Amino acid sequence: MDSNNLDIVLNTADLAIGYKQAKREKLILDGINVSLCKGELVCFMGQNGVGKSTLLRTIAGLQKPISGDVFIDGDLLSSISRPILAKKISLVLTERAIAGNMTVQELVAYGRYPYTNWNVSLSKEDVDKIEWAIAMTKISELADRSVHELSDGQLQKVMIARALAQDGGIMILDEPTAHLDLNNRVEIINLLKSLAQETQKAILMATHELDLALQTADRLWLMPGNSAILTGIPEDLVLNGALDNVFPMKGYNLKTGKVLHAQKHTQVIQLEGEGHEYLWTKNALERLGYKVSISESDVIIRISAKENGLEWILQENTFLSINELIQALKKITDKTE
Amino acid sequence: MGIKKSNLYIKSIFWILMAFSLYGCNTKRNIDESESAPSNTAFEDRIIPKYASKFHVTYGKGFKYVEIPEPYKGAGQGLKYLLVPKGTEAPDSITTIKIPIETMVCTSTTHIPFLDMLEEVGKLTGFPNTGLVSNEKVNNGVEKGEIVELGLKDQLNVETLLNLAPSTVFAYTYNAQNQNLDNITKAGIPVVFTAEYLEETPLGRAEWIKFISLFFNKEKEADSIFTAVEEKYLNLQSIATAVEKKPTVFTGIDYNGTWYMPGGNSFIGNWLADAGAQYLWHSDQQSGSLPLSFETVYDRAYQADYWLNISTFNTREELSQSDDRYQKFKAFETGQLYNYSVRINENGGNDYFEAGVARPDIVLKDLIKIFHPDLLPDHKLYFYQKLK
Amino acid sequence: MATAGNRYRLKFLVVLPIIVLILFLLDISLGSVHIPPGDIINILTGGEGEKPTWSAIILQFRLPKALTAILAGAALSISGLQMQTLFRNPLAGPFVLGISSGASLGVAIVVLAGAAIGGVFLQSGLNHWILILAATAGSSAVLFLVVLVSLRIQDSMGLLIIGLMFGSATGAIVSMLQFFSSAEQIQVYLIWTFGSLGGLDWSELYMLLPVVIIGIAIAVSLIKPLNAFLLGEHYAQSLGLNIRKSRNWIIISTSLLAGSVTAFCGPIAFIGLAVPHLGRMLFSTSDHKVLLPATVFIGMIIMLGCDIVSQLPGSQQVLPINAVTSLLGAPVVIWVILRRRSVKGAFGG
Repeated sequence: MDSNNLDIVLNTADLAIGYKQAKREKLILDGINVSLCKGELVCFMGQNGVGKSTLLRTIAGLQKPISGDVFIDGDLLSSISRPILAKKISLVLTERAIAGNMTVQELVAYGRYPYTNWNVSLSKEDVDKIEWAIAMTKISELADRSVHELSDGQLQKVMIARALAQDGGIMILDEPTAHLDLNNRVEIINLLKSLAQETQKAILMATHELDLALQTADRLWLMPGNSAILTGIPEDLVLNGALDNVFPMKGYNLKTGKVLHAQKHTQVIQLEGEGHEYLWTKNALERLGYKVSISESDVIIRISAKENGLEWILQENTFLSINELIQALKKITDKTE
Repeated sequence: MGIKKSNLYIKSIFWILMAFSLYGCNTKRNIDESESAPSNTAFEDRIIPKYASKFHVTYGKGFKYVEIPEPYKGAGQGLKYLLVPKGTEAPDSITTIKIPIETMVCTSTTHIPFLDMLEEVGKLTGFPNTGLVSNEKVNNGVEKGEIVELGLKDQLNVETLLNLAPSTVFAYTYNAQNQNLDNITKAGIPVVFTAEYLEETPLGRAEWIKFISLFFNKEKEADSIFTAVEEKYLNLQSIATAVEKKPTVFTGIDYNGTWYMPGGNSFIGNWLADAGAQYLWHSDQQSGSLPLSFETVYDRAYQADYWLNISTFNTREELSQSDDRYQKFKAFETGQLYNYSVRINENGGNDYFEAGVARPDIVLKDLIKIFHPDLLPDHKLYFYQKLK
Repeated sequence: MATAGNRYRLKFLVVLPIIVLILFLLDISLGSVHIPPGDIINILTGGEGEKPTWSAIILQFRLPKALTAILAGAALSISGLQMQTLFRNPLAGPFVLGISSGASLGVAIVVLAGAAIGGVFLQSGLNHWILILAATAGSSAVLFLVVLVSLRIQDSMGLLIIGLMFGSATGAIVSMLQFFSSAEQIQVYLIWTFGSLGGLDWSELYMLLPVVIIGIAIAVSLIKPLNAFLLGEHYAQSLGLNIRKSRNWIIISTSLLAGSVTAFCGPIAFIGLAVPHLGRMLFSTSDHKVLLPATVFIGMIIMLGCDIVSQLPGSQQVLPINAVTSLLGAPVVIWVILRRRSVKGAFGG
């Protein structure tokens, strides 16, 4: 653990989260000891319903803990007034419904609310911060557009710009990539990664994007449903099996990062080749349920590169695509099995 | 147009009925059967409404045919009743009432003085909101348990009423919808709707005593009672209207920016004119109320000599507290402010709306006393009083 | 951020008060009684009219009525705006919290049930002040309950539902009272529900004026939280806002404004619902810094317009103000929805 790191901006001490309703308490998780450092992107993962949003809301001060403490810059969260807290933590939440007719610039300007007086007049510094946030998130060309004209991905970048303009040391995002397509997901995560590096803010995001998180996050918080939160850098968590505990996955090998396919055929296939073509051919065969081996077998597939492309050779027959290859393979194995 | 139509309607029905009786048709619906019935009465005492225009009566051999052309304001259809002597078989195509009726229920206090004057209060077996009644005989009947309380406010206690099984129910309605009264009709008790409140003259209202008398075969009595009232009224009217100097007068108060002023042709407008006053809205020939703005009333009435029917308030102070602007009227300054709240009983029932309907001459006397005190030096105000 | 849009908005904000002034003068000039413009100017500047009644008509009738229109228009519109923002619901109005239902209940109790309790005095129960007191008591009681509930309830949606429940419960009690009441009493109650601007004299206006000013002042001080509420309560909170406190102030401001106007003028429909939409459309913004003054002025304009129509200039008769506001308000809402094609769009822009 990095509890002695001087760059810690947020940490918890034996935090217990849950809901208090009337006289009943519903405990979700206790014994939470996590921390967040300057300049790092932390991905917070766990299955749906384990209480990720509750923890985020609790450390953002939107919800009271059942017991234990949250410290922001070493100060007790409960001792920080809401207006001061707003200058330290900014949020991007899952709720998207903006009830209003406003431009991107106006929405980003909301980030400056903690700094303005009652009639919301913006100072030079406020205007500069807004422009900076817009530039950092690369949404300058959207600045005068109405927020209702934006795509989901664009809107999410604007919401990040708004949080950036709030200019706290900590930015917390609750599933910012949900409902986005792959391109936008990659773009958002890369944006957050570079923001963490360039602005030295601590960025905590809850996400389900396991593959992207493993590749991008500086650290992971893993929230199993039943035991304490695990933290660490992604690679360690993969290799020590912690991730497998949190995501008891069926059909996915975290260490290889690949989906597991049930073996449907008894036939072992000897595959010869190299490079990308080897990997993709193996992928296709495994998907169909063949066991692929480099050791000897009576079914041999050889890949060779020709001037005009690739060809696959199976029992003296030459195929120009994997599709043709597997059709022929099916006929052979159907006979023998 | 409406009246013409309904006249045509009466006539055609009348001729159809006559035709049946002449040709001796033998269907069940036949009126003719009443001819052979034991009491083949030829009604000799007949009434003809002189002032009232909201009911018509036609006498035939062994029946009276009554029509209420407009049972409520804007009614599209008139109501028809056939009054036949007991023992006559009733046709089912028309509401038939066997007369003279033995017991009755009425729902309006305006019916009560008519019964009293006809000496038929004894026939009354039930009344809703007996607390609002001012008539002494009725109140005695209630005390003795001879008249049953029939409900709360405007709602009739239908079950109790059905239990009483009166020969007839006298009711009034402001519109076509009245579930309770429909249920009574369905139970076989005829409901007669009266529309005296739609009459445009005080005498027209009072003349409804003749209508009530039809059901007791007391036309003769009704005629003489009404004629007496009429004579008194006309006498007073001729004295009052002969006065040259007619004071100006207006009525009512402002309800949230709207001042409902009786039209010149309404019964109040006629009453005021008959009392020798110059009603400031006399020229508006409406029989209903005019929804006027406060400023319109002020513009026309600020110098009026008298301000009447200030029903809400008993003192000048109460009046001015409710709206400063009332003080701007000359009548307020001179104190010529009157309401008709003298004879209100402890439950809020006002005899003005009860006896006042049957005795317009007394109301007229009050009004003349207010406008021309010299003409009636001995009269003491009966319904009206001056605001303190 | 002085963008081109903002300059356009500023210009508009200058034009609106001028329209208010013109309609105000028009409202004073038009009425059942014809008074030439020259005399009106004479009277307004302290002189005399040709007829002695005219100065009283202008100074005692039309001036208070026009001022009432201005106050009621501004108050109801701002109430509606605050409720639409708080609940983030385009169909919210000043009366969603049950304020008018409470006022109606108060009046209904006095007028309809009064006869049973108070006999003669209340049977005549038309006294203006009694109605005002009853309406104030009714709306304050509902306000008290709403604040009590809001202390226990986290989200505004719950509050909205509770307000609706109050509304239907009081509506049911009113119907029950009507069932047991006489036609005359029901008529008095119905006349009150028609609403009216002309029923106020100066002494009543002097009471309404400070309440409306206080209510508007509170609303102006809430510009920042109101804007923040557009992002939702969680975002508002993350921006450093004490949402519970802000919400309570919004409720207090709305209650003062809608409650006092309802008490004095009766429940005036549609203005509070329709005017904020007009403001958003004309200024194509949701910024309360612009929207608040815009709504005040548009509310005044619409109310003055409705009052002019309700006087049926040239005739001696008047229409109930509620009939006019509903007739004018309903098409506005329909127009907004058609223009934006969906309610959500109508709200968002």
